[in-house]
Amino acid sequence: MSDIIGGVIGFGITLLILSYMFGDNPLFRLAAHLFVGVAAGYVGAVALKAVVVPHLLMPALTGSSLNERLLALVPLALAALLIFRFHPAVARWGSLPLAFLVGIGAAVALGGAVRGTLIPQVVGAAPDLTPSPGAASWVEAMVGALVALAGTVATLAYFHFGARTNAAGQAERPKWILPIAWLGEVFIAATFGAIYAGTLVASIAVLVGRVDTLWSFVRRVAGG
Amino acid sequence: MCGRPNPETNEVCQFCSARIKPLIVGSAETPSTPASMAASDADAQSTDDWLATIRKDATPVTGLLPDISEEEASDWLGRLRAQHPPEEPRFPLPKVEPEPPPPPEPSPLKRSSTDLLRSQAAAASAASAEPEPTPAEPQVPDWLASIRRAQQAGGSEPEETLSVEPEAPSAWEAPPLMSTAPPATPADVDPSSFDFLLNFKPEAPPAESVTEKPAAAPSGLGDLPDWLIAMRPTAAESSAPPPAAPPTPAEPSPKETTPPPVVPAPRPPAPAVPPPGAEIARATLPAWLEAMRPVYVPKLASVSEDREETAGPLAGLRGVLGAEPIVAMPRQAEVRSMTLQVSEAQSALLERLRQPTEEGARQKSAGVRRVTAQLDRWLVTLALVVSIAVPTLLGSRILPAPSGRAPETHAAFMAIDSLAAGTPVLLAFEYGPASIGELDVQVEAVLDHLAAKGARLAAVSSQPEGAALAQAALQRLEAAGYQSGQGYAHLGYIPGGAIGLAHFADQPQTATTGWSRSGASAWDSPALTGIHSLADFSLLVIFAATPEVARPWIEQVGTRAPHMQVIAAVSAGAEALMLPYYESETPSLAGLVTGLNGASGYQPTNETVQARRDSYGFGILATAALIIASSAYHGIKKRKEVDL
Repeated sequence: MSDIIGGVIGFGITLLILSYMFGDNPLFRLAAHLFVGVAAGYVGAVALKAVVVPHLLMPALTGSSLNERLLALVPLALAALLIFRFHPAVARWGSLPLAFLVGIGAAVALGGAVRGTLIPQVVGAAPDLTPSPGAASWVEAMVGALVALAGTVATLAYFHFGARTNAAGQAERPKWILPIAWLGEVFIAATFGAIYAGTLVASIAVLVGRVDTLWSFVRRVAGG
Repeated sequence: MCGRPNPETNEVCQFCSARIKPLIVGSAETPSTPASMAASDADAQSTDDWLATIRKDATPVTGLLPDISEEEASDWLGRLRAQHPPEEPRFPLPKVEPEPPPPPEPSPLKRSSTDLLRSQAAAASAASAEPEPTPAEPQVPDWLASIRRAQQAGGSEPEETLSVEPEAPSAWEAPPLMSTAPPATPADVDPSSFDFLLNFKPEAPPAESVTEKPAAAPSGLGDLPDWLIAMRPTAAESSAPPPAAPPTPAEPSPKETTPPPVVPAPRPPAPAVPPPGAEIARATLPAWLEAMRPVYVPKLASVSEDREETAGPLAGLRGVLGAEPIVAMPRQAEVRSMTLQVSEAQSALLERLRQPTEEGARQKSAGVRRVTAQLDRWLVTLALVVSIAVPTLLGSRILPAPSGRAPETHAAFMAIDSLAAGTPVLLAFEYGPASIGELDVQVEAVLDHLAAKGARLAAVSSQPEGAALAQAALQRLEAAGYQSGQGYAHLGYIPGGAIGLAHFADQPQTATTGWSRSGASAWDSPALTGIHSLADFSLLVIFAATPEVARPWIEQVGTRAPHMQVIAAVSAGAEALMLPYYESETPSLAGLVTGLNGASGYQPTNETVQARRDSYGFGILATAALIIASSAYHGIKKRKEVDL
């Protein structure tokens, strides 16, 4: 029974969202506001159940030792300082936990990006062109490596903004970099096109999945 | 120069040969006396020149006044100078460095008048036995003292008579000096210029002698006129501060009973000055004249009066009129001088005619745009509904399945397929409800494969919604014999984003609490037996809708467990940015499943994938057709606009 009720609600909200094809209307706004409100309420409940109570309150109240309970007061105090951000007179006291969060977050994200993304990508952009025993795969690998190399160099050249002032007083890029930058622009356009195509395909897949779900629900309700 | 009297007909002094009558260029019949100057109208010009010469000659005398010490100068004259400082000229002229004044050469008439005063003073001093200083005159000038002494001496000195008899007083009623200047105020008149006028009494009897005056003025002022006596400072005035404004001739002093020596004469009619507050009626110009009137007057660049000349021979001077803003600066007329002659009635009529036309065009344009946008929307909706909904409703299976897997998809399949039974696998659900329609097929295919391999599953998410979706996805495995806590465990939500993931990679048991139906910690469940750190997991599967939420798992978790394989099942929109992690020389991903195509290649026999294949394929075809048609339409439209 709960599946039927949930299915009916989902079916109705889906139709409200699809009503946007007629333009912005109150039904669409109702569904959007309902989604935002439910999501916010759910996130608050999850934060209270999975973060505040088990990680903040319980260690401070039911810690196994005094040190553990005192240590649990530190995040509690920092969290309390964040409340001061609401009032301009004492807002500066809320900067302390905010600075702590931003500093730690930036350090962690930067370290992970260097190790997990930057170095592997740089290494991947420098392929090994040593001939391999398989002639066919070697040619394919060679072509792929050359394309990757050309794309990397050309894209970096596109973002080279060094220029000199010519006789007319206008900034002019070096002539040798112009064709390379143009090639880099082509690679960037192709990349953006691929991303756009992927997003479009993903949207179509979502729509297909939603239509299939609704049709499955109708068939199930109809006993088909 | 000698001061001795001469006959009237003499042009030069018979004693010192000094010239008595001034030389005036171009006036052959220049009369020798002012009386004769009034004989005819032609003589008026001669009178002008004559008085102008007097004034010019008197100027050096005025310029010498400041050189006289205060002790020597007349007190009341000095006070007059103090009370009436030189005013700013009404019509300022360019400042020219004055040349050194020529040596003063008083005119014969002035000389005669000054000599006359001197003789009067001598007579007065001789007439008066002893001076009678009045309290109002603390410092008596020398010349006045001499007059007093002459009066006290009894006036027995030989009396001088006026050398010039005002035979025609009316001639003095037209002072040529004032013909081009405003009426002179006491501040404008040099006090020394009164010297020669003091002796003229136009309305006095012609034969009246100046010696009769001391008798009428027992106060010791000799023959000074009453109006001049009235100008003398009294004791109170001498001690009082100078008045703020000098008295004007229009407001004579009450003591002034005799008219001033210079009687205002009928002058040429001055321009009519409207009374204060009166409005000047605007003249109505004829049409032809109005049309010729320039409607634009270029604004000249304002030049500060304190501007200092920086170049040329005038360098360093201030207040020099600059010619550059007027001559050299390029200007462009802002408004054409000739405009279309349109009356107000015509303008109103034109406005009435134009308003409905523009409003109609605007409404029509807005209406066309609205209809066009609505039409485009309906066309896209119709194309998508037909291409997607119809195959779904009909349950068609027209499009063939992919012939094989993509390399990254095959790598992901092999990574799971190589797992031994009971191997712990960590699942990261990083997507929301908006991506279920696409990712649920991939999740279903991967979880089915994992369940088939008998892996122990632990689900976690750094997204609050992802934790709920993970719960829903794991419950689906219960149909395959998996039970919560036995075959899988839900570790719940990891707060803090990248920081939380780093914490989870270091201390998985403290970073998550775990969701279990019994309320016990998920880490104590049989599904996670022997799992104490991240390295105890053999495989990490990331289900992500965007690369932004998948990247922290690779960067923070994947790098901390080098022996743990990582595969990802992501949306098709994230494929372009996630492939480099797989295709790198040192890949961070062991396999990648993207979109519905990846799911179809991963599990070709999946019923859901087969049911959606046609809708998905036709939807992409319809979208591509819409893009091509729309691009062609707008390209042609733009081309037509350019041609027009």
